[in-house]
Amino acid sequence: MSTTRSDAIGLVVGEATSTSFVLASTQEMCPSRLDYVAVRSRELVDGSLVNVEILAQVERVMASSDALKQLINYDALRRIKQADLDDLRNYAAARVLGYLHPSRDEVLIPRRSIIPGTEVQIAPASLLDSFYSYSEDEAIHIGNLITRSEVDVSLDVSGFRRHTAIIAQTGAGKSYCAGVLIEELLERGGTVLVIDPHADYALIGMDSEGARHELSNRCLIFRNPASTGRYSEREVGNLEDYTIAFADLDNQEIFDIANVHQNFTRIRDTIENALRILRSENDFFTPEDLVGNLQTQLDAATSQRERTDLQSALRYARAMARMRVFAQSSTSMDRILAPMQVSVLDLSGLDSISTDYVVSKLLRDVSSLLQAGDYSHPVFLVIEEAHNFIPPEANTRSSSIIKRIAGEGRKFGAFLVVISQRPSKIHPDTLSQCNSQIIMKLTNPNDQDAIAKSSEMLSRDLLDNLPGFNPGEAVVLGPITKAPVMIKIRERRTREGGADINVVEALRAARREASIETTVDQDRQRTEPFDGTFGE
Amino acid sequence: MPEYLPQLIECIRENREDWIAGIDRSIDSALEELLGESARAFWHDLPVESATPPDGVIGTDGSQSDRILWSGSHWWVVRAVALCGKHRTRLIDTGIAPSGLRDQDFQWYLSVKMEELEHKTALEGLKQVDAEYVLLDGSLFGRLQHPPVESPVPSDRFLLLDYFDTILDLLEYCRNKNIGIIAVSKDSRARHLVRHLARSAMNGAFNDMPAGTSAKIRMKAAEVLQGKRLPDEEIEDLFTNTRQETGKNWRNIERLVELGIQPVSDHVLMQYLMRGKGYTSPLLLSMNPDTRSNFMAAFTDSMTYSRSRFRNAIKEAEDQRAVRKRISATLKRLERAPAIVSFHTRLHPRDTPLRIDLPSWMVEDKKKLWEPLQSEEIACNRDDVFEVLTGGYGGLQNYNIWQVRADAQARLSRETVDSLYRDVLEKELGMRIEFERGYRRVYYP
Repeated sequence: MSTTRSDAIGLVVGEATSTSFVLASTQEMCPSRLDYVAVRSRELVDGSLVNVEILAQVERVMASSDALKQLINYDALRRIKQADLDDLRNYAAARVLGYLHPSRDEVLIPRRSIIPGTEVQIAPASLLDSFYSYSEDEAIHIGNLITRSEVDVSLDVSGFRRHTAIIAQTGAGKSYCAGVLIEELLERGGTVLVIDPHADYALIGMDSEGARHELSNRCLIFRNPASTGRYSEREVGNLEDYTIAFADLDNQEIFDIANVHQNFTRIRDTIENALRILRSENDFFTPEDLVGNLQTQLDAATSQRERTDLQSALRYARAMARMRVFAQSSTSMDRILAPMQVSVLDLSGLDSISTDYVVSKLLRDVSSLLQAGDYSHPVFLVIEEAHNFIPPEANTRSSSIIKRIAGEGRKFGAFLVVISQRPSKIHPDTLSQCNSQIIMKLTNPNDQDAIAKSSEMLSRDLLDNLPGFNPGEAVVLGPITKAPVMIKIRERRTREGGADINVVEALRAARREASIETTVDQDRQRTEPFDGTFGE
Repeated sequence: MPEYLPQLIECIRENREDWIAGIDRSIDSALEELLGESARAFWHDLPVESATPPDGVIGTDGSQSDRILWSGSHWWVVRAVALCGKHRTRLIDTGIAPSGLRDQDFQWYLSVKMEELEHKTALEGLKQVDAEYVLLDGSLFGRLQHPPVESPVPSDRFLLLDYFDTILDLLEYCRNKNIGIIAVSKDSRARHLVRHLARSAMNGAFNDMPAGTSAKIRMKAAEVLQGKRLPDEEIEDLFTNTRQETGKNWRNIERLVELGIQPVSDHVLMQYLMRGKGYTSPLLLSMNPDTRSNFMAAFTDSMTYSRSRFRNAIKEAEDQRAVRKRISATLKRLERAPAIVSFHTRLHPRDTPLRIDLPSWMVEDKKKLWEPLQSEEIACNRDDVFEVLTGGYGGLQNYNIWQVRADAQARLSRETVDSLYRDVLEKELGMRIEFERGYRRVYYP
């Protein structure tokens, strides 16, 4: 193909619109799928028709041959190929991402059609930089372009004033991606609260080598009494307990936690009576104290009716005791929320009811603080395994407060970062409130549909790319970026806690522990190698 | 449309026998009887079958298109391509022919323009790539059989002279560079082989005649078999005389003369009488008697010929002497044009035959185009030609991979002409190009 511009890789052909075009190229010059290309066009900007450079991304690449048609028999195809008459044609279909306003740092979507015959070039790095970078204050450095590793991609920190969702199937790197975001938010002074059901973020205070980093003292891990997290205090440093003072709860809260139906008045009366006795005796008591009091009353009960009520009340009290989140004192919100601090709430080891209660309690407390103006900094609420807290149908304790934050939180400075591998299992209202989305590898069609419904920006073509992503690759949409972008997440500076287990190493360790390794080696050495013949 | 189907079925059923006879033409038994044995003697196995297309083969083809404009004038476009591997040579020509031209004259003019461009493109392609063979679409003999006359288009009176110059340039270039020219015709309607076989059969029939059989009958019959057109009365006389003088053989001779008057094509004959893969014995072709006499008149007295056949061109010319000189130069070159060797081949048992033309020098024969008075068998030891043909054979749809590709690439689509080229024309001329209403009425976008 002869070109007048040395860097032209093709020409716009056929029917082009303001949002997409097809370019004809050659086998050598044809761009790859996901490559960024640029075309010149004219747009009406602020009342004047000006030349602009439009950025587009290649969605599909096609090669066709008029000579090598499907219906031709193999022998003819072979001869045509051998005679070099295949007449290959190479095309690429590109989706327009937008163009930069000539004077403002703003991406606009073209309103005029790209003109067939226009030369197409590989997007220069300077253009991509303009699209995907922000000023130092605003930038959250998330990674680089998948197809152009030399181009760094930043997200707009202002974009986080709308909620964000990180969606990916297991193993695609969503926790890793969230870790990068947390690092960046922390460095920019953010208050980050991480709801962490599996202690995946417990090592956030360590660098990738396992040493403490300069912001380690700004990373606090709040461990519940039942935590099964695989880390020690020596490793993570700032480790504190997260507990809720049972004595601080009023009766209604206790009935709610214990799920005592409002019609069960006799049971409620029995529990109320026990609580009154406990309060009169001590300022601090636990669910175990409540169980003890009820048991004492049961032992002394004389009537059958009395015994029945006490036995029922005991069942509820024992359930609360099993929740293992209550203690004699509550963790202060002053410790959890502080400027330039990451607080990780380790919920590992808790059953689903306890987890649900703790999360709802904590988020209500945060929400109250912010609404009352008692905490003046924005709080980024990172909720891992969000599908467990805000399922589409069932009403959990935490779902109502999360939905409220999703609906109104941005007004008082609570910004959600919802993380899940099952978007189809998240309440659609909450997901649709997440205007920004970081979507990684996702193969389940139901999950793809769920995010497609939640975002008008996610086109079918973008969805089709999701199953092909490698771990750590993502598409970013929404206010956190000027234009949809496909990125490779940068390396984390902090240590990852949620990575997959190294099975080979784990099995080796198991053999060592069982002292089998030596035996196996000895046995191998004893076995004579086969010399290639079978002896007598 | 299904509404017509019952009536259609009825039409077919009413005349079923006629249908079958019409399709078969009921000629197979006659052909078999008259020519079957000699035809099979003419049919040979392929000397070589290659599974690999050879390198250095150029395929060429052209395409033509025209539109009648609202003013009645004809806008025409011809284009051609020569391709070899990934290399392409493309030429295009376009122009306006005036209104008032007879349709058949214009169509003749356009087809000559296209063939001329094909020759130029082939020659240009040969100069750009290192080739051993060049393939032409159609008959090489047919390209040389035009009587050299002036063109009906006033602005292009010497078209045929230019045309002959280009094909002679191509032939000379190939001969000098030892490049084989292979003209491939997939739907030839030529009758050289049928006439040749009929003439042989006729000679056999006359050999069985009494010695006193009229020489006049022999001569007339031979002329008919050579393609000469005789008036109906002469034919009737010929039949009457034949019956009277040739005794019991009169019917066979009559049938052979009838075959000479309305011969089946060589390919039809082959479909009936020659089965399987193979090729026919090559024939050195002789010109049609009428065309030959034109050529001979031009060669022997070019001045007189020019005056009669280029009357307008000479009259319109400012320098008539230069025009005559120009005509004479081309005619002299044409006189040296090689004779053409032709054969048919079938490369797959279920395929239709291909006609192949080669210049005589490719088979070590030095005869000129005008020299053979009647077609004659000639030895052809060019297995390499069969290597090209069989190596490039890709089945019924791809009878020759180079030619099929060239055809696809040269073909002018309606969209190309009506949108792309028309837009260019309008832009360059700065005026709207409107087609005549008849054309627009059948325009289905």
